[in-house]
Amino acid sequence: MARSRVPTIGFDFGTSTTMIATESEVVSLGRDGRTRFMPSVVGYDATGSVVVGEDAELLDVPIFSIKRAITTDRQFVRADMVTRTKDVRADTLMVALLSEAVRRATEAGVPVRSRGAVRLGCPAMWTGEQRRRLVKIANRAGLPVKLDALVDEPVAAGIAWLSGDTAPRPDRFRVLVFDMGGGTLDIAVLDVRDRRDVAVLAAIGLPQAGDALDEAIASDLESMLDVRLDALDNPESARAELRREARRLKLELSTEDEAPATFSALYFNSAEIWYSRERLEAAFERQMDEAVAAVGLALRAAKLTERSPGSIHTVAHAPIEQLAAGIDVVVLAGGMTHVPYVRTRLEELFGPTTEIVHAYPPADDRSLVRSPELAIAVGLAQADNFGRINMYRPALDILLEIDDRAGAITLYEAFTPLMDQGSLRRGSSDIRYVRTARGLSLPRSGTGKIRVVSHNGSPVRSTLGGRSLDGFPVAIDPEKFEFSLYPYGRIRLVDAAGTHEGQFEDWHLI
Amino acid sequence: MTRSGGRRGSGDAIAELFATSAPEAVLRVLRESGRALAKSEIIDQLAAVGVPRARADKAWSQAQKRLRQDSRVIAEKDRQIVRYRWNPQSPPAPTPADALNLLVEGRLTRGEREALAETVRAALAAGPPAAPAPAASSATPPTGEPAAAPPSPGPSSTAPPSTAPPSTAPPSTGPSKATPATAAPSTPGPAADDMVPASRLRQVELDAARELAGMAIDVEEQVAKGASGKAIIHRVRARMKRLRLEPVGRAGEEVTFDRTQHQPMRAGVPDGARVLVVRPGYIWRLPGEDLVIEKPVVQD
Repeated sequence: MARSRVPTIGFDFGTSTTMIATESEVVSLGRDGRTRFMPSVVGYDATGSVVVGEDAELLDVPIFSIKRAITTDRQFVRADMVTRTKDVRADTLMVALLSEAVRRATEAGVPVRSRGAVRLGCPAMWTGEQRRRLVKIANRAGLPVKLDALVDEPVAAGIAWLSGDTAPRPDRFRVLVFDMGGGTLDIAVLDVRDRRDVAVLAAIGLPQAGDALDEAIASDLESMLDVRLDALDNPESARAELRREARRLKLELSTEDEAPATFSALYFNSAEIWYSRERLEAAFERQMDEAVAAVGLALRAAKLTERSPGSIHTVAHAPIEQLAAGIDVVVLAGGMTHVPYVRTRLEELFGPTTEIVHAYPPADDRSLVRSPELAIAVGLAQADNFGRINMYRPALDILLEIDDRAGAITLYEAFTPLMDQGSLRRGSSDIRYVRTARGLSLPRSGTGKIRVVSHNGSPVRSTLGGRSLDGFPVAIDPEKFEFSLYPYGRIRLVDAAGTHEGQFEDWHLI
Repeated sequence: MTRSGGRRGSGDAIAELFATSAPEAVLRVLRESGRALAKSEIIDQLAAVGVPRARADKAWSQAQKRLRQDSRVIAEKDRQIVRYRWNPQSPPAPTPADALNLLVEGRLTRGEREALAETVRAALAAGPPAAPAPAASSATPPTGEPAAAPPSPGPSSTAPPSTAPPSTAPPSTGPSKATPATAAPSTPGPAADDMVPASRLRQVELDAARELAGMAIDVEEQVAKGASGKAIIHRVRARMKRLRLEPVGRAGEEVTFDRTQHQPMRAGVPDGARVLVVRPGYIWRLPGEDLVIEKPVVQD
C-alpha cells in the first residue's frame, strides 16, 4: 500500500547552536520553547553526569564548540569533572547533546525519529570519515540517518536563498555561497539549473572567522583603555567584559559608522570609548584578505569542473576578477556577513553585475525580528525539493572487487575532494584524483570488476569504455593500474587491457 | 446512523460525501459501523442516510474496487458471502497533501495510484474548510514603545514565524500579513489568525517581548555604568535600526511643522511654524512600504 511521505526536517547541529526547522516552520528548540535554538554546549555537573544546552552554560567550565572535535579529528576533549580534569570521548558528549535536541523536538511534535525525515548539515570541507562519524553519533542519539541525509552547509544556505528567491533568473546561473560564522568560513560554488538542480562545483572551508575578529577588537579596546589587565584582581572577568563589548560593537557597527563601548566601574572606571567602523575594518582587513584568497581558490576549483577550462596553468594564474565574472549571485550566510566590510570586499571583487544577497530571510520578509542564523536549518528542510550533485566531493564509493577474493578495495571513498587544494595553489598541471597500485594490495594478475555505491539516495549514472562503470571488468596488472577521476567528471582507468575513458552522467557539464 | 435534530449528523456527512466520492462514503460507513459488512448491508446503510438505493448500487463496483485496494479494509469470506471490515490497526490514511506528494513521487502500483487519486479528488471536491471564528489574541507586538532590538551576538533572538507556509519556499520568520505596533494596534484578520497555529503566535509574542525587554535591560545597564546620554540614545537607535525601525526627528531639535508628518501637542499649529521635537517618531521600513509607527510629537 502507498506509504505516507515523511515531511523533511532540517537539523542544524552547529558549532554554537543547534536548530531544527520543518518545511513550514522553525521549531522552538530552546528550553520551554522560549527560543529557537539550543546552545551547543556540554559539560559535567557536580555528580559527574553529562549536562547539555542551557544547563551546561551554567557550569564552571562548560565545553563549547564540541562539533569542532570532528573537524579537527579529535576523539577526546578535556572536561572539568569538579574534582579533577579528565579526557572524555567527544562523541559521547555529542550524542548527549543531540539526544536532548531529539527529545525536545519529539516533545514539540516534530517526527525527527522517522526514518528518512531528517537532513543533517555538515561543513563542506568534511571528509567521508568525518561525515560517517557524524552519522554514527546521530544514530546513537536516535536519529535514523544515513550518509545520504547529510547536506553541505553552504549548499543548505544556497537552497535557503533559492527557496525564497522570486526574481526572474536564467535557466542556468552560478552562485557563490560565502558562509562566515563564529568558527569557520565555508565557501561553495554552485551551478543551478532550472532553479531545481544544484551542483556543487567547489567547496572550501577555513577554520577561522568571527571569533578572531572579536579578539582583535577586544585587543584594540584594551589598548585604547590603557589598562594592564594582568595587574587586576580578576583579569579573566575583565577580559570577558572586553570581549562582550567587542561583540556588541561588531553588531552595532553593522548599521552605524561609530558606536560606544561602555564599561563598568569595577575594572575600567566607567570608561566610554567611541569605536569607529574604520577601526573595525582595519582590525578585520587581514582576515578578509585570507577570505578573499579562499574565494579565489574556490573559483579556480570551480573553473576546473568545466570541460575545457583552458590549461591548468592558465586557470591557476588567471586573475581572480576574471574568474569572479562568472558568478551571478553571491549568497551571504553566517553571523559575520552582517559586518558591512564583508560586503564591501566582496563587491570590490565581484563588481557591480554580481548580485550580493543574504541567504535568509527572503528579501520580502516582513518580520520585526529577522534571524539569518536560521538559514542552514531552513535550507536543510527544503533540500529534498532540489536535486543535489556534489561534483567536488562526489557522494559515491568506487570499489574494486577482485574475482575469487572476498571483500573489496576502495578506489575512491565518497566525499574525498577530487582536487587537492595544495596542487591548485601551486598551479600544478595535473589536477585529478588518482589511485595507482601503491597501497591497494592488488594481486599480480587476475580479474575483477568495479562497483559503485551511491550515498545521495539515487543511482549514479556513469560510463567507462562504452559500458556502465558499475560492473566494469578490470584486468589486473599492478604495474599499469591507474584509476583517475577528473574535476569535470571524466573517468579514466588503465589496466592490463588498456586505457578506458568514461564520464559521470547527470553532472552539470559545462 | 442517527441524525441529530438541529445539528449536522454523521449520516448527513456520509450522504454529502457520497455525492462527491462514493468509495470514500463507503469507507466511512465501514469505519463507523465497527463491524464487518456485506455489500447489501453497506447499501442498506447508505439508503438509511438518504442515498438513493439505485445510485448506491450503481456505484458499488467502483467502491468495491477501492475496498479491495485499501489496506485498511479486510475482506472476509463466509460461505460465499464477502464481508468487509475496517481494520483500526492500519496506518492512518494519507492526507490529501500527502497523497498528492506520493503521486508525484511515483513508484506506485496502479491500485495505489487510484486510491491516492481518489483521496485528492475528494479533497478537491470538498473544497477548503470553512473559517472558524477569529481568535481572540493578536499576533502583533505590544503597542507603545517599539519592541527592542535583537540581542547581541551569538545566537540571536528568534523571529516570528510565517503565517502562510508555502511548500517550497522557506518558512519566513515573521507574520507576513500582520501589521506592527501602531498607535491603534491592529489585529490580523480572521483568515490570517486561522492559518497561524497558537504555538507560532506565542513565539511571535515571545520574540516581541524579548526585544522589548532587551532594550529596557540595555538602557538600565548603560545608566548603571554611567554612560553618557549620547551613548544611550545611540545604542537605542542602533537597536531600532536593526529592526528596520528608523527614528523621525530627534528630541530637542527644531523643525518646521508639517501636519502630515508631525503630531502637535495642541491643536491649531499652522503648517510652516517652527516647533520643537519633544518626542521623536518612528517609521518601520518594510519591503515595498514604510509604515509610520509613531509621528514625532512637537511643541510650538
